[in-house]
Amino acid sequence: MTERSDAQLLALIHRADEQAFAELVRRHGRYLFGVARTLVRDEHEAEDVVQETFLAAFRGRYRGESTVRTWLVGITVKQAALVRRKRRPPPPEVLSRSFDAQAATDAKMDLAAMLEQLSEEHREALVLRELEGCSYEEIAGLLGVPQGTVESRLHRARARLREQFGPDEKTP
Amino acid sequence: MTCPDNQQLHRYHDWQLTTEQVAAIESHLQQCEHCRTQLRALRHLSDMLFHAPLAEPSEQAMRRWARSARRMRDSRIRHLAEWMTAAAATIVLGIFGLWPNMETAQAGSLLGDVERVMLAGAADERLPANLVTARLFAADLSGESPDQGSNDP
Repeated sequence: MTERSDAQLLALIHRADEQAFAELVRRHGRYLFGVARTLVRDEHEAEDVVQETFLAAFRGRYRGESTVRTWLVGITVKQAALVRRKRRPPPPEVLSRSFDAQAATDAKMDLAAMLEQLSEEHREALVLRELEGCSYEEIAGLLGVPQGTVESRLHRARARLREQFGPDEKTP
Repeated sequence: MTCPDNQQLHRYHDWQLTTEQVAAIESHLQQCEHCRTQLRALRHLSDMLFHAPLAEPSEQAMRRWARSARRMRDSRIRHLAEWMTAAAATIVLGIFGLWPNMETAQAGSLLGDVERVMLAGAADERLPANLVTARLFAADLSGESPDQGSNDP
Protein backbone atom coordinates (compact mmCIF):
# COMPACT_ATOMS: atom_id res chain seq x y z
CA MET A 1 0.00 0.00 0.00
CA THR A 2 1.40 3.43 -0.90
CA GLU A 3 2.07 5.85 1.88
CA ARG A 4 -0.34 8.76 2.16
CA SER A 5 1.01 12.22 1.42
CA ASP A 6 0.94 14.91 4.08
CA ALA A 7 -1.85 16.68 2.22
CA GLN A 8 -3.91 13.47 2.19
CA LEU A 9 -3.33 13.08 5.90
CA LEU A 10 -4.61 16.62 6.49
CA ALA A 11 -7.75 15.86 4.50
CA LEU A 12 -8.35 12.82 6.70
CA ILE A 13 -7.61 14.81 9.84
CA HIS A 14 -10.34 17.27 8.92
CA ARG A 15 -12.70 14.30 8.92
CA ALA A 16 -11.55 13.60 12.51
CA ASP A 17 -9.32 10.64 11.59
CA GLU A 18 -7.22 10.13 14.72
CA GLN A 19 -4.80 7.73 13.03
CA ALA A 20 -4.01 10.30 10.36
CA PHE A 21 -3.42 12.86 13.07
CA ALA A 22 -1.05 10.51 14.90
CA GLU A 23 0.81 9.86 11.64
CA LEU A 24 1.23 13.59 10.99
CA VAL A 25 2.62 13.96 14.52
CA ARG A 26 5.00 11.05 13.91
CA ARG A 27 6.27 12.62 10.70
CA HIS A 28 6.67 16.20 11.82
CA GLY A 29 6.55 16.33 15.62
CA ARG A 30 10.31 16.03 16.15
CA TYR A 31 11.17 18.65 13.57
CA LEU A 32 8.53 21.09 14.79
CA PHE A 33 9.75 20.65 18.34
CA GLY A 34 13.30 21.47 17.19
CA VAL A 35 11.99 24.62 15.51
CA ALA A 36 9.83 25.58 18.48
CA ARG A 37 12.69 24.99 20.90
CA THR A 38 14.87 27.27 18.78
CA LEU A 39 12.23 29.99 18.87
CA VAL A 40 11.10 29.88 22.50
CA ARG A 41 14.24 28.55 24.23
CA ASP A 42 12.29 26.61 26.84
CA GLU A 43 11.51 22.91 26.55
CA HIS A 44 8.08 23.00 28.18
CA GLU A 45 7.00 26.05 26.24
CA ALA A 46 8.26 24.41 23.05
CA GLU A 47 6.11 21.34 23.81
CA ASP A 48 3.09 23.59 24.26
CA VAL A 49 3.85 25.37 21.01
CA VAL A 50 3.96 22.06 19.11
CA GLN A 51 0.74 20.92 20.76
CA GLU A 52 -1.00 24.14 19.71
CA THR A 53 0.48 23.85 16.22
CA PHE A 54 -1.06 20.44 15.66
CA LEU A 55 -4.40 21.54 17.08
CA ALA A 56 -4.34 24.60 14.83
CA ALA A 57 -3.59 22.29 11.90
CA PHE A 58 -6.63 20.24 12.92
CA ARG A 59 -8.81 23.36 12.86
CA GLY A 60 -7.11 25.20 10.00
CA ARG A 61 -7.28 24.92 6.26
CA TYR A 62 -4.22 23.96 4.21
CA ARG A 63 -4.37 25.73 0.86
CA GLY A 64 -1.44 24.01 -0.79
CA GLU A 65 0.57 27.20 -1.24
CA SER A 66 3.64 25.60 0.35
CA THR A 67 4.61 22.15 1.56
CA VAL A 68 2.64 20.89 4.53
CA ARG A 69 5.79 21.04 6.62
CA THR A 70 6.38 24.72 5.78
CA TRP A 71 2.72 25.42 6.54
CA LEU A 72 3.14 23.75 9.93
CA VAL A 73 6.35 25.67 10.59
CA GLY A 74 4.47 28.90 9.80
CA ILE A 75 1.90 27.96 12.45
CA THR A 76 4.69 27.08 14.87
CA VAL A 77 6.30 30.49 14.39
CA LYS A 78 2.98 32.20 15.11
CA GLN A 79 2.28 30.04 18.16
CA ALA A 80 5.78 30.68 19.48
CA ALA A 81 5.22 34.43 19.12
CA LEU A 82 1.99 34.09 21.14
CA VAL A 83 3.79 32.18 23.88
CA ARG A 84 6.56 34.77 24.03
CA ARG A 85 4.06 37.61 24.34
CA LYS A 86 2.42 35.93 27.33
CA ARG A 87 5.70 35.07 28.96
CA ARG A 88 7.39 36.96 31.75
CA PRO A 89 10.89 38.32 31.04
CA PRO A 90 13.56 35.58 30.97
CA PRO A 91 15.62 35.07 34.11
CA PRO A 92 18.75 37.26 34.17
CA GLU A 93 21.17 34.35 33.94
CA VAL A 94 19.90 33.49 30.44
CA LEU A 95 20.62 36.99 29.20
CA SER A 96 24.01 37.26 30.82
CA ARG A 97 25.30 33.77 30.13
CA SER A 98 28.75 33.92 28.61
CA PHE A 99 29.11 32.46 25.16
CA ASP A 100 32.08 30.49 23.94
CA ALA A 101 31.70 30.19 20.17
CA GLN A 102 34.66 27.86 19.69
CA ALA A 103 33.50 25.49 22.40
CA ALA A 104 30.02 25.64 20.94
CA THR A 105 31.24 24.71 17.46
CA ASP A 106 33.41 21.91 18.79
CA ALA A 107 30.52 20.47 20.78
CA LYS A 108 28.29 20.44 17.66
CA MET A 109 25.71 22.52 19.45
CA ASP A 110 22.11 22.39 18.38
CA LEU A 111 20.38 25.17 16.47
CA ALA A 112 18.61 26.51 19.55
CA ALA A 113 21.94 27.03 21.28
CA MET A 114 23.51 28.56 18.18
CA LEU A 115 20.77 31.15 17.84
CA GLU A 116 20.44 31.82 21.54
CA GLN A 117 22.18 35.18 21.35
CA LEU A 118 19.86 36.50 18.64
CA SER A 119 16.64 38.42 19.13
CA GLU A 120 13.33 36.60 18.62
CA GLU A 121 12.66 38.40 15.34
CA HIS A 122 16.05 37.40 13.98
CA ARG A 123 15.58 33.78 14.98
CA GLU A 124 12.19 33.64 13.24
CA ALA A 125 13.58 35.02 10.01
CA LEU A 126 16.58 32.68 10.03
CA VAL A 127 14.53 29.57 10.76
CA LEU A 128 12.13 30.30 7.91
CA ARG A 129 14.92 31.12 5.47
CA GLU A 130 17.67 28.67 6.38
CA LEU A 131 15.64 25.66 7.41
CA GLU A 132 12.52 26.02 5.31
CA GLY A 133 14.00 27.88 2.34
CA CYS A 134 11.11 30.36 2.32
CA SER A 135 11.40 33.33 -0.03
CA TYR A 136 11.54 36.83 1.40
CA GLU A 137 7.95 37.31 0.25
CA GLU A 138 6.78 34.15 2.03
CA ILE A 139 8.57 35.12 5.23
CA ALA A 140 7.08 38.61 5.08
CA GLY A 141 3.62 37.07 4.69
CA LEU A 142 4.12 34.67 7.59
CA LEU A 143 5.53 37.27 9.94
CA GLY A 144 3.25 40.08 8.83
CA VAL A 145 6.10 42.50 8.17
CA PRO A 146 7.33 44.25 5.00
CA GLN A 147 9.81 42.40 2.79
CA GLY A 148 12.47 45.04 3.51
CA THR A 149 12.18 44.24 7.22
CA VAL A 150 12.76 40.55 6.48
CA GLU A 151 15.89 41.36 4.52
CA SER A 152 17.16 43.62 7.23
CA ARG A 153 16.54 41.00 9.93
CA LEU A 154 18.29 38.30 7.93
CA HIS A 155 21.20 40.60 7.20
CA ARG A 156 21.70 41.58 10.83
CA ALA A 157 21.17 38.05 12.15
CA ARG A 158 23.81 36.70 9.78
CA ALA A 159 26.23 39.48 10.63
CA ARG A 160 25.83 38.65 14.31
CA LEU A 161 26.33 34.93 13.71
CA ARG A 162 29.37 35.54 11.56
CA GLU A 163 30.91 37.39 14.47
CA GLN A 164 30.32 34.34 16.65
CA PHE A 165 30.98 31.52 14.23
CA GLY A 166 33.18 33.22 11.65
CA PRO A 167 33.84 31.00 8.63
CA ASP A 168 37.16 29.35 8.21
CA GLU A 169 38.50 31.52 5.39
CA LYS A 170 41.12 28.92 4.53
CA THR A 171 38.38 26.53 3.51
CA PRO A 172 38.06 26.64 -0.28
CA MET B 1 34.79 47.63 -10.90
CA THR B 2 31.95 48.37 -8.47
CA CYS B 3 30.99 45.64 -6.00
CA PRO B 4 27.29 44.96 -5.45
CA ASP B 5 26.12 46.07 -2.04
CA ASN B 6 25.87 43.55 0.75
CA GLN B 7 22.11 43.36 0.46
CA GLN B 8 22.35 42.38 -3.19
CA LEU B 9 24.83 39.65 -2.30
CA HIS B 10 22.41 38.31 0.32
CA ARG B 11 19.64 38.33 -2.26
CA TYR B 12 21.85 36.39 -4.64
CA HIS B 13 22.69 33.89 -1.93
CA ASP B 14 18.97 33.54 -1.09
CA TRP B 15 17.87 33.05 -4.72
CA GLN B 16 15.86 36.26 -4.70
CA LEU B 17 17.18 37.88 -7.88
CA THR B 18 15.94 37.89 -11.45
CA THR B 19 17.84 35.98 -14.14
CA GLU B 20 19.42 39.22 -15.41
CA GLN B 21 20.51 40.26 -11.93
CA VAL B 22 21.99 36.81 -11.30
CA ALA B 23 23.97 37.03 -14.53
CA ALA B 24 25.34 40.44 -13.55
CA ILE B 25 26.40 39.23 -10.08
CA GLU B 26 28.02 36.08 -11.46
CA SER B 27 29.93 38.07 -13.99
CA HIS B 28 31.19 40.28 -11.17
CA LEU B 29 32.06 37.32 -8.95
CA GLN B 30 34.39 35.95 -11.61
CA GLN B 31 36.57 39.01 -11.20
CA CYS B 32 36.18 39.91 -7.51
CA GLU B 33 37.87 37.86 -4.80
CA HIS B 34 36.39 40.06 -2.06
CA CYS B 35 32.79 39.29 -3.10
CA ARG B 36 33.61 35.60 -3.55
CA THR B 37 34.88 35.54 0.03
CA GLN B 38 31.72 37.26 1.26
CA LEU B 39 29.58 34.75 -0.57
CA ARG B 40 31.61 31.82 0.76
CA ALA B 41 31.04 33.11 4.27
CA LEU B 42 27.29 33.30 3.71
CA ARG B 43 27.23 29.76 2.34
CA HIS B 44 29.31 28.48 5.22
CA LEU B 45 26.90 30.00 7.70
CA SER B 46 23.81 28.68 5.91
CA ASP B 47 25.33 25.18 5.76
CA MET B 48 26.14 25.31 9.43
CA LEU B 49 22.62 26.36 10.38
CA PHE B 50 20.94 23.89 8.05
CA HIS B 51 22.97 20.97 9.40
CA ALA B 52 22.89 21.97 13.05
CA PRO B 53 21.06 19.32 15.07
CA LEU B 54 17.65 20.24 16.39
CA ALA B 55 16.55 19.71 19.97
CA GLU B 56 14.68 16.39 20.37
CA PRO B 57 11.31 16.07 22.09
CA SER B 58 10.68 13.38 24.68
CA GLU B 59 8.77 10.25 23.65
CA GLN B 60 6.17 11.23 26.23
CA ALA B 61 5.58 14.56 24.45
CA MET B 62 5.27 12.76 21.09
CA ARG B 63 2.63 10.44 22.54
CA ARG B 64 0.76 13.35 24.11
CA TRP B 65 0.62 15.25 20.81
CA ALA B 66 -0.58 12.16 18.96
CA ARG B 67 -3.41 11.75 21.46
CA SER B 68 -4.47 15.39 21.27
CA ALA B 69 -6.72 14.66 18.27
CA ARG B 70 -9.15 13.06 20.69
CA ARG B 71 -9.17 16.21 22.80
CA MET B 72 -9.90 18.24 19.70
CA ARG B 73 -12.72 15.91 18.63
CA ASP B 74 -14.27 16.16 22.10
CA SER B 75 -14.09 19.92 21.88
CA ARG B 76 -15.88 19.82 18.52
CA ILE B 77 -18.61 17.62 19.97
CA ARG B 78 -18.97 20.01 22.87
CA HIS B 79 -19.41 22.90 20.44
CA LEU B 80 -21.96 20.88 18.50
CA ALA B 81 -23.84 20.09 21.70
CA GLU B 82 -23.86 23.76 22.68
CA TRP B 83 -25.07 24.76 19.25
CA MET B 84 -27.84 22.17 19.28
CA THR B 85 -28.92 23.26 22.76
CA ALA B 86 -29.11 26.85 21.59
CA ALA B 87 -31.04 25.78 18.49
CA ALA B 88 -33.46 23.72 20.58
CA ALA B 89 -33.97 26.60 23.02
CA THR B 90 -34.73 28.91 20.10
CA ILE B 91 -37.30 26.46 18.71
CA VAL B 92 -38.87 25.99 22.13
CA LEU B 93 -39.07 29.75 22.62
CA GLY B 94 -40.72 29.96 19.21
CA ILE B 95 -43.25 27.29 20.09
CA PHE B 96 -44.19 28.60 23.52
CA GLY B 97 -43.47 32.27 23.05
CA LEU B 98 -44.91 33.08 19.64
CA TRP B 99 -47.93 30.77 19.81
CA PRO B 100 -49.14 31.05 23.41
CA ASN B 101 -52.52 29.61 22.54
CA MET B 102 -51.19 26.40 21.10
CA GLU B 103 -52.77 23.27 22.54
CA THR B 104 -50.57 21.44 25.02
CA ALA B 105 -50.83 18.28 22.91
CA GLN B 106 -49.55 20.12 19.83
CA ALA B 107 -46.71 21.69 21.81
CA GLY B 108 -45.80 18.31 23.27
CA SER B 109 -45.74 16.80 19.80
CA LEU B 110 -43.45 19.55 18.50
CA LEU B 111 -41.20 19.14 21.50
CA GLY B 112 -41.03 15.42 20.71
CA ASP B 113 -39.91 16.30 17.19
CA VAL B 114 -37.17 18.56 18.53
CA GLU B 115 -36.04 15.74 20.79
CA ARG B 116 -35.92 13.24 17.92
CA VAL B 117 -33.91 15.64 15.74
CA MET B 118 -31.42 16.22 18.50
CA LEU B 119 -31.03 12.56 19.35
CA ALA B 120 -30.58 11.69 15.68
CA GLY B 121 -27.58 14.03 15.54
CA ALA B 122 -26.22 13.03 18.89
CA ALA B 123 -22.80 11.44 18.81
CA ASP B 124 -22.01 12.03 22.39
CA GLU B 125 -23.57 11.18 25.71
CA ARG B 126 -23.54 14.83 26.78
CA LEU B 127 -26.20 15.75 24.22
CA PRO B 128 -29.12 14.11 26.00
CA ALA B 129 -28.06 15.99 29.14
CA ASN B 130 -28.36 19.23 27.23
CA LEU B 131 -31.66 18.05 25.85
CA VAL B 132 -32.98 17.46 29.36
CA THR B 133 -32.07 21.05 30.17
CA ALA B 134 -33.98 22.25 27.11
CA ARG B 135 -37.00 20.11 28.02
CA LEU B 136 -37.10 21.41 31.57
CA PHE B 137 -36.92 24.93 30.19
CA ALA B 138 -39.73 24.19 27.73
CA ALA B 139 -41.81 22.54 30.41
CA ASP B 140 -41.34 25.58 32.59
CA LEU B 141 -42.54 27.85 29.79
CA SER B 142 -45.57 25.72 29.03
CA GLY B 143 -46.55 25.45 32.69
CA GLU B 144 -46.03 21.68 32.79
CA SER B 145 -44.41 20.08 35.76
CA PRO B 146 -40.87 19.01 34.86
CA ASP B 147 -41.46 15.72 36.69
CA GLN B 148 -44.58 14.93 34.69
CA GLY B 149 -44.44 11.40 33.40
CA SER B 150 -41.82 10.41 35.90
CA ASN B 151 -42.20 7.04 37.61
CA ASP B 152 -40.76 8.36 40.85
CA PRO B 153 -43.17 8.40 43.77
